[in-house]
Amino acid sequence: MSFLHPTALWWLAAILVVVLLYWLRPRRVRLVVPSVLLWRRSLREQVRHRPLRRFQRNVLLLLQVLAVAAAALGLARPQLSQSGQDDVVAVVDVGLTLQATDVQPSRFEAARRAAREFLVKVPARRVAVVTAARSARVVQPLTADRWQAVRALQELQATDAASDLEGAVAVARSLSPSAEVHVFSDRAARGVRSHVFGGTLEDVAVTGVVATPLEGGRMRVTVTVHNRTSAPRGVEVSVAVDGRPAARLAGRLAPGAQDSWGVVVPAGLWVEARLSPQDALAATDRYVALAWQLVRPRVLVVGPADPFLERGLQVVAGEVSRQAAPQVAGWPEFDVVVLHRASAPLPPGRYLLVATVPPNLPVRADGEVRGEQIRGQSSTHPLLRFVDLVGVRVSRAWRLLPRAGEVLAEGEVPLLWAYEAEGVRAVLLTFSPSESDLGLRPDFPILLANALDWLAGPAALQLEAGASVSVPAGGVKEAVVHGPQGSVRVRAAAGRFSLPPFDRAGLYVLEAGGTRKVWAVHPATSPRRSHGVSPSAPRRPPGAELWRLLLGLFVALLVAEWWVYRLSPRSST
Amino acid sequence: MLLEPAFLEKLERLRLAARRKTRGPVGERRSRALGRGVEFSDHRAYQVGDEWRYVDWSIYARLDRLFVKLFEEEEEADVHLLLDASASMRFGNPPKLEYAKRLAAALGYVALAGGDRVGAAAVHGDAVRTLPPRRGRAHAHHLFRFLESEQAYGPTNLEEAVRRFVPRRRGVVVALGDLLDPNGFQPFLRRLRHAGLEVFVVHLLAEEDLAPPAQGALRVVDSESGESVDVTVDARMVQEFVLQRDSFLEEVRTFCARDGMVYVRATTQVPVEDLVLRYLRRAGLVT
Repeated sequence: MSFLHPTALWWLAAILVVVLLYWLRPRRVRLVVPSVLLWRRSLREQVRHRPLRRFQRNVLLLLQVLAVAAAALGLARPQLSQSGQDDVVAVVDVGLTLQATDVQPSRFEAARRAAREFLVKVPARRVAVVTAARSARVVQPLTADRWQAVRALQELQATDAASDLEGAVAVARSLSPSAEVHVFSDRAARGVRSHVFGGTLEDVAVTGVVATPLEGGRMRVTVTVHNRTSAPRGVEVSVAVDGRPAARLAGRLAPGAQDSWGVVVPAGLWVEARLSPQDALAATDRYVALAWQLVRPRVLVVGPADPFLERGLQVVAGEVSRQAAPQVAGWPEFDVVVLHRASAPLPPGRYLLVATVPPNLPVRADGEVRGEQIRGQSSTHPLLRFVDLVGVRVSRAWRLLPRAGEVLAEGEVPLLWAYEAEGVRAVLLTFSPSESDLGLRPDFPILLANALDWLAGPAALQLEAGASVSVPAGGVKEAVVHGPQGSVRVRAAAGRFSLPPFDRAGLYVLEAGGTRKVWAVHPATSPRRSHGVSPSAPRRPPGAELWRLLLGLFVALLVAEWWVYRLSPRSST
Repeated sequence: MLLEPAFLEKLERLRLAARRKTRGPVGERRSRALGRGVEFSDHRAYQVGDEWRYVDWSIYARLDRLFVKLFEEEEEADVHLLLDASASMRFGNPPKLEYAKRLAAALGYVALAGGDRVGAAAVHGDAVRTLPPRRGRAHAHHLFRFLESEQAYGPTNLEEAVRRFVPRRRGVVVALGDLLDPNGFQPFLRRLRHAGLEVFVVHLLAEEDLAPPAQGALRVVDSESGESVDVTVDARMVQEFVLQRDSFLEEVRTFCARDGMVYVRATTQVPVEDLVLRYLRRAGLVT
């Protein structure tokens, strides 16, 4: 038997109150009478000193205690397993707060140990294991081999990610609609049986580090600290740049307060803020961030210069190089290659094509059009996020005839086209910015930024733990990811590298061919993640719920108490 | 002093009435049965064995048939005054035992004045303290002293006490008490009746016996056994108590009537003088 709301068992303490009230009840007035003969006749022979009478005296107390116990047990929602007929899914929380050491050796270890014991003993036909972090993962599908599930449990590790417990429960239920779901976490989940380890967490956390470049080879580092405790806390933050100590910050935070402190330090590639003293949740005491210049992609511009294109790329790209004529050999070193009026067969890679149509893409140019105007555009593609191209006038453009890919903006003919296949990801603008009014519009740099994001991966390389990243392979077959837990090799699939989730905070470096990509991963700033959707209820109850039975028992006990009271209405209270 | 002189004077004029024939030496009290007394009562036909000296020869002379003369026997009776002196007799205003003592003294004095032999017994649980029956007015002094020395204590176990209290001679027994015997009053009275005694029952009750003395949550404790009963006295409980009380009193009255006993119920609120001179006379206990 297990309980859906085990915390309700605290209501059993009310039994003590009932007993206490029984002992503290008003004492009777003692009155000596000639004989109790007539009293006994009136009370149907309820004589106090007889053993049976002594029992009857306590019947009301016993019934009251039983009624309170039944009510408390009913509130705890006990359930009976259906003796091995059901599937059981253990949802193990591997989120950030499970690393807290207020439970020895840690909440996570306690939860894992309990889950292991549970899976060994539970009378179920099949068992499965799902982890709850930023997203749910089925680490062990339903299996009759529970030792396999135990082994899967053994391989689990706590993460620095927020915990989406409700999402994990939904995933667990999706494995088997009739599954009995047990959650092992530091908080209870609604609608399932929860095994809770640890209570309120007293934690002071670094929740943000921003490095902004300044003139003269310096940068300003702003550190945000959140006091999630119920008491004022004095904190000290050590700031390191590229691993070298650079500054120390100190301050005092009121309970529940969040504050930011800034300091100017020598410029570097990455910044680390470390909090002292450490508390029960050490993972939130460290935060790593990248300096701004690393975030922007490296771009190679091939072909004649266009003033609007040049200026725009300088704004949104990190480093812009130029090549007058296409020399394909050097292109893999750049995140994005921009071809402006320069045509060449494209090897796998990421390309922004401006007023040019390469020969090896599923598209061809059928002459030119003049006096064109954009009349419609895609409303969903990420390239056009916050961009309005409708009304852009174009004096001269290629007449594009695509055989694949997606037309994103068009007038009489396609004017903006995107394509991704066979290791090539490309965006094709059929006209030069200087031959339209697009370069004069504020939408142009936004379009460029979106294009570089889409081609080279997200510009925001500061990620929260648990994030999953997929980056274009650019023709490279294999890459290596270096992270806090070591190095992992990944192979390209469908022209992309799908990287394993960044579960632990720290620096992650992807090396693919000649390019490097760096991510700074910080711990979840909010320990709990919720999509605002409660897990759906199981289609049928996994076990027999006993609360109705207990409610009936409670009512029956009250009736019995009333009956006993009526039976001896004046013999006791 | 149990009885005032004025009251004693009034008692001089009373006689204890027995309704059945007693078998003892001739006394001053006249029996309603026929026997060998001094006062002529009737004739009956001569039977073999009758003494010749009772033959009425004048009738023989007139009718030529033998008849014997019958006389009312004047026999003395043993009057036993049986007091329940258990702890429950302490209650009342005046206490039931004090009332019983005065009443017993009065009845004893009446009996002694009538020439009867008067004895007394006080019952404390299964123990009995007795005063042997004696005749004569001088015995009144012993009787009064015996009664005055009695205190209420001990439980009520009337039947067991009566086992020990077996009069050698038949006579009249006047039982005075509240009859609140946990074992029931019936065995006690039945045993007296089977001993061949003419039984007079004076049922004495105090106010505490007639109604619940208080209301609310009570723990009533038996004055004799120490037993306690938790009760919550409300209007319904009072009603139930009164019902049981009336049932009990009716039970006693019916039992006595069925077994030919004279039953008188009195509360201690009624003066002893009134009880003797009015109610006992009306009940036929004294004439």
